[in-house]
Amino acid sequence: MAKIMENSWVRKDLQSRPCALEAEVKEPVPLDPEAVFGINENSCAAVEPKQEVAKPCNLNAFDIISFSSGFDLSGLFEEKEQKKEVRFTSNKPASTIISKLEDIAKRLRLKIKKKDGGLLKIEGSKEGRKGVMGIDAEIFEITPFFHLVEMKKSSGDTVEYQKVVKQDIRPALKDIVWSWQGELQREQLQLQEQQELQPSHASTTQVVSTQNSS
Amino acid sequence: MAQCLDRIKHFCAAVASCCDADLYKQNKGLEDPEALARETVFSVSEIEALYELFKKISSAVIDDGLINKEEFQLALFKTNKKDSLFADRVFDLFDTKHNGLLDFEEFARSLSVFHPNAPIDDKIEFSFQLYDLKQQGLIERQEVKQMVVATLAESGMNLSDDVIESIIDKTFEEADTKHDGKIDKEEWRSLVLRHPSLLKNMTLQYLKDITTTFPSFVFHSQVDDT
Repeated sequence: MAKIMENSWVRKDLQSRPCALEAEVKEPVPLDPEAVFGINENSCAAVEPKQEVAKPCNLNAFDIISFSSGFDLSGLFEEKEQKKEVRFTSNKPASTIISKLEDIAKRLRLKIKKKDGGLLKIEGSKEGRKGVMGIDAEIFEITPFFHLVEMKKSSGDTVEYQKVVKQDIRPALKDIVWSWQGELQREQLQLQEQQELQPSHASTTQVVSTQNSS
Repeated sequence: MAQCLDRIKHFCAAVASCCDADLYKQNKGLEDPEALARETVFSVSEIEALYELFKKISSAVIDDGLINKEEFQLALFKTNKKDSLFADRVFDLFDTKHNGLLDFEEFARSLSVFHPNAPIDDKIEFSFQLYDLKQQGLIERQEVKQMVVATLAESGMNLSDDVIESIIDKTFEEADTKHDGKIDKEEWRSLVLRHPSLLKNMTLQYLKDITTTFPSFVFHSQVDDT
């Protein structure tokens, strides 16, 4: 079973993760920190050599762009609170993020497995309403000190998953989170709205005139 | 007595025309679901369900059966105060008639590309046009930088120019196989075929379940889905 899982995982890696190819082709000796530091600060292997697996993936520019919430049309179908995946940024190194997630999993009595390419699989032990709850936490490296983490439900009941994320996981991540995707903008927007109390007239007339002109 | 009857007759006629007008308004947006179903990957019942979503979105600010930019932002971000380079781009691509408004046809045809069953070539084409901000048929380095910076700003990330430049360098190194500083359609195509995750935003699984999320109770439904 493990062999099969490993195989399909490797295939998935080669197909969908650019970093796997890069890691294999460009950096045949990832364990030499000096050589690596000299080349490219964005290199996956700039993380401590002692840490074998769980190297986060390098993102190319289009990967980063695809994380934008403006390009994500699932918003058309979701209510705000029902989002199935959450993303946050962190200015901690990958190893810190991983140990933090491991701590949280331990505390919540969840099983955690490290996979290649910065993917962590977290699993509940009890059978919920729709099977065992599973959460995928994927770490993407933007630079060695800036990571994007995406958490999404991989199995089980959505309501249960959202509860665990909101009540247990999110507060525990406070130390390492730089910003939650969507949250910063909400704060900024609230500020904007407060400042805009006067010009709100202008914005409504603007809308009206756009309608009229078309 | 005769006058009374007359008035009743007028009243009935008025009510009847009112009903007709309502039906007319309803059908106006969904005139020919079968035709749309034929020209998209949606089934007729999916088109009808999509129409329920469309009605919800298009009536949010102005109830005119059309989605304007503000209603689009509202639907996407749950707030109309968010200006987004990307949402603008998406809206413009949906707006094939270029009149600043989306009617149901434009809505359905564009969303069809996001269906899990839509041909990958359509997704590749759409995403290329999405990123081609200046619409010159090429994705230029400057456009990529603009989008990366905008995305990072959305997430509250402030990376130095050097770091951003090096990320883009690496991307172009891989994508720009003709080494002309721009990514053309061919290069884009081979890039995404090598990295399918780049197209992940081009597929909305929600579209597969749309008939359950937005059940429609259309009386005149001539659904004959096979």
